Amino acid sequence: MKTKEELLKEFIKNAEAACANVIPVAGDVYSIKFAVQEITEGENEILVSNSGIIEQSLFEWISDDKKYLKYFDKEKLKNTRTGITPAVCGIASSGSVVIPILDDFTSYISMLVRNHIVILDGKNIVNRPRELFDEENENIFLNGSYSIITGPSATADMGPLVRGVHGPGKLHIIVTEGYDE
Amino acid sequence: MNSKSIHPKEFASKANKDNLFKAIDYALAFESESVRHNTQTFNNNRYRAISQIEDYEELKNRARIIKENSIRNLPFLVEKLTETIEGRGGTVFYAKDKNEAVNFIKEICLSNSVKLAVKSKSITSEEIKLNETLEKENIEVVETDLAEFILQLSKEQPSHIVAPAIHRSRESISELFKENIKTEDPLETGEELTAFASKTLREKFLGADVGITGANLISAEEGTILLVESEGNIRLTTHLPAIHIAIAGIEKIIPTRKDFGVFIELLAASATGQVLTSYTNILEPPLKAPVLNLNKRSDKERKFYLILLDNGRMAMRNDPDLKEALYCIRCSACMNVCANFQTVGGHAFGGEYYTGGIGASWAVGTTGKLEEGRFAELCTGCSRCVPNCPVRIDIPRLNTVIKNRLLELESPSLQKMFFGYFGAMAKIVSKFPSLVNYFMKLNPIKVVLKNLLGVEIEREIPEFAEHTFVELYKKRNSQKHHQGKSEKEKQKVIVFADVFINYNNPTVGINAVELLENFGIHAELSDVYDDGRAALSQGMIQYAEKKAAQTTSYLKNLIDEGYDVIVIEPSVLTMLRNDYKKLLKDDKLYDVIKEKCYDLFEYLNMKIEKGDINIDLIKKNIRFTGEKIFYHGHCQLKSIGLGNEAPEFYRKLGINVEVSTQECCGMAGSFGYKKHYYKISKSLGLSLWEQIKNKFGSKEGIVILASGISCREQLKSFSEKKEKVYHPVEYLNRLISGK
Ligand code: SF4
Ligand code: SF4
Repeated sequence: MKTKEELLKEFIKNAEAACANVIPVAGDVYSIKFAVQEITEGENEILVSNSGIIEQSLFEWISDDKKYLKYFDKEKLKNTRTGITPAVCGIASSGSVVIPILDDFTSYISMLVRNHIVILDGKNIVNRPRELFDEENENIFLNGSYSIITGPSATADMGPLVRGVHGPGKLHIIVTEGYDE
Repeated sequence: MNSKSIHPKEFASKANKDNLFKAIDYALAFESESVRHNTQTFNNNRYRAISQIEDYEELKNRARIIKENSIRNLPFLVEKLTETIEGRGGTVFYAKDKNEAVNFIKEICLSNSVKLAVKSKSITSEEIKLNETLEKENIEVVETDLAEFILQLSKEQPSHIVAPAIHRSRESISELFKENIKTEDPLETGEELTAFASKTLREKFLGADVGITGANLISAEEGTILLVESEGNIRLTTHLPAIHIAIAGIEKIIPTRKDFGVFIELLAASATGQVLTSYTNILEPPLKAPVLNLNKRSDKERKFYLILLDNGRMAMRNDPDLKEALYCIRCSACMNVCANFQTVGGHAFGGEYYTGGIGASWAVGTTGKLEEGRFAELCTGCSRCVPNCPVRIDIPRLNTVIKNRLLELESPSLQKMFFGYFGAMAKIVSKFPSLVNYFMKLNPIKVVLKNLLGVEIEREIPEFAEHTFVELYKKRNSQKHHQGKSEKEKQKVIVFADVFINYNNPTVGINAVELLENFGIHAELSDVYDDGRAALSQGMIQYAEKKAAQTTSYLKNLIDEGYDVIVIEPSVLTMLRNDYKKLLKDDKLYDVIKEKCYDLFEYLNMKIEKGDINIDLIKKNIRFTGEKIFYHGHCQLKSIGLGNEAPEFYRKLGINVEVSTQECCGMAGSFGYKKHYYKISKSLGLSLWEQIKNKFGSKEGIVILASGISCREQLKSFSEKKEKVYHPVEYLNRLISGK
């Protein structure tokens, strides 16, 4: 059995190998805010969906800044370049994040923007993809719809490997190293 | 031939033999380079990915069991899935054939006033010719997977089940776009082409009235669809339009989504060589995500339709042989690992929509026409796909069955009989080897062979030896006194006199006997038996079964007397250890044969391991002067896990051996002698030499080793400097004897 720290380390290594930009942060509200600000520098509008997955207090700072849009219409959804969503879980061996498909805009953000920023609780990382379907995780993964996202959208159909096709060309993962400690 | 003078669609169906031959010529001329590059990249990545799954073999067993059970319980699973989806507000339609399926989809589209449909890649939708039907109703159907987008422009059929435009280079895609699309956008680099296609398609996504997808798997219990992709087009297809139509063959149903874990790891590793592809979508439609109506419709809620397609699958399920094809999870590993597929791709080694070794069974099963599976002839039975299939399908066996049924339908050609009855023919011909060898070299005879038997004129027919293995062995024994063994100490060993070693390559046999003696193992020689390999590779199953029965009844007696059996020719050993399982239909007997028949180097390695023989005995007698050695492992030997035995033995002697990475030499018994297939075989022969040159440059003094008789013939045929090619045992004896 791997420890949480080992899983986190492996997750970071494999997510980077899958061409995600991984930013490990302490997990307090400021470290998350700082990481987001750094990635979104120069952006005017950023869509945010939390779906109640990440502790709400960690998102409060968003209200301070008008460029973060918690409420937006479908035109914004269609035209905004950058968006933030939570992940319910990460997978160490593949460096993937699991994004739920709920009755909000979370999954839309994760597919329509060019830059997708994911916030992942570093304690929610499983070892291998198959564990998502283990009885242990029954409450989370044995029903409902999800997309397991591994790196940016990509294709080799036009010859060389190109990142950024129908989905985001950039995937940033802000992974907390344990904010409730 | 000019690439534009003929279109691949013209020879998509291989029902007609000429189409197959035309397709081979076309693919070799225009598609081979891209196909080889792309499939080999997939294949290398796959090897890397599976090496990281520690329990890969166990995972494959689990996948196989899940699929076997699912197919067994299919009617129940269909019922359960229908109930689950309908319970959630979706609609399920069981389509008995393709007409029922397309008509149903057409009706959904018409009743929902659909003008524009976006579609993700789905071979099943190609099987039912969905696009054509919808287009007749003035519904625009847009393929959103970039490879399918290319094919929609080029009007070609897919050349690969995972990467359908694998036959096209960037340059050819650029040319295609420029010829067919009016745009100011640059269309040169991969980035430019991708950017253009995704921009064009984004507009289509936003305006689409319906999204059509396939399914990788569906769980009956939860009604969950697994859809794996890299580009993100499936996500948009299933989210943006409020109406989602999924079409899936009934074989895609498995009991529960708990089983997805096994498949998502195997599928990604086996298909593209990744731990996971960019998006693994686990969907329970109708999705909860809000309806956006960016298409300006006013759909109030999501609608989901699942079309479960039978179209011959239930009949396949009742077919004792073709049933196995239903376990396929369409990963394409069997294509990427296949030397012939790497050379011609799916436009030749494929039919209208299904490609590769597994494709022939699907072409037959879904059309009900045996002739549609004629491209099974391109399966040489090399078996490289078998250990690489995540659900352990015996793909060469399926193709042998199709060849066999075609023989029954069309009666065997003289060519098939010539190669299939090799054992019987060799027995007669070997009475006058010099005469036969002389005639076989004469041009008029070669012309007759070509016209009558379809034997390629460029090929040298292997010579028959002046003295057979049995004759040489007897002569040797009469001249040499063997040190007897004390009964208690010795294991009785017998070398199997197969027809190839006996009539064509007896010196290899004698070398094997000598090597064993060098280790203090006195080997006896068996009677000559035709094991049935030659017949089986022509699809002559019944004759092969007869030969298998005769050979095993002989060998079984020897084994009962306490003999270990050494088999020199790899294709014969794999026949005994692998193919006999199905040919004998007697598991107990098969187990005895499998247990006690050995590859020579496997046997020696095993004896060294057990401490029964001492490698130092030979090590100190060896006169090795540092030659560069290249070993090409026999395809079938590799597939039963013995490809590395000879190099390992050499390494134990302190001799380094470079090992070929080419999956098969391309000769594959009789395949390379057949005039219609010669060019594929030649292309592989040359690429094998290319690999040798890349490894060693064009230095002199390279030693080439190959265990298979046809691998040696193939390597000799295309060697520029007429390098000698040895069986590893032959070369070893030279090192020992200093000759
Ligand atoms: S047995 Fe060999 S030739 Fe036949 S499909 Fe498999 S890999 Fe290809
Ligand atoms: S037969 Fe096996 S290897 Fe080939 S596509 Fe199907 S599952 Fe994959």
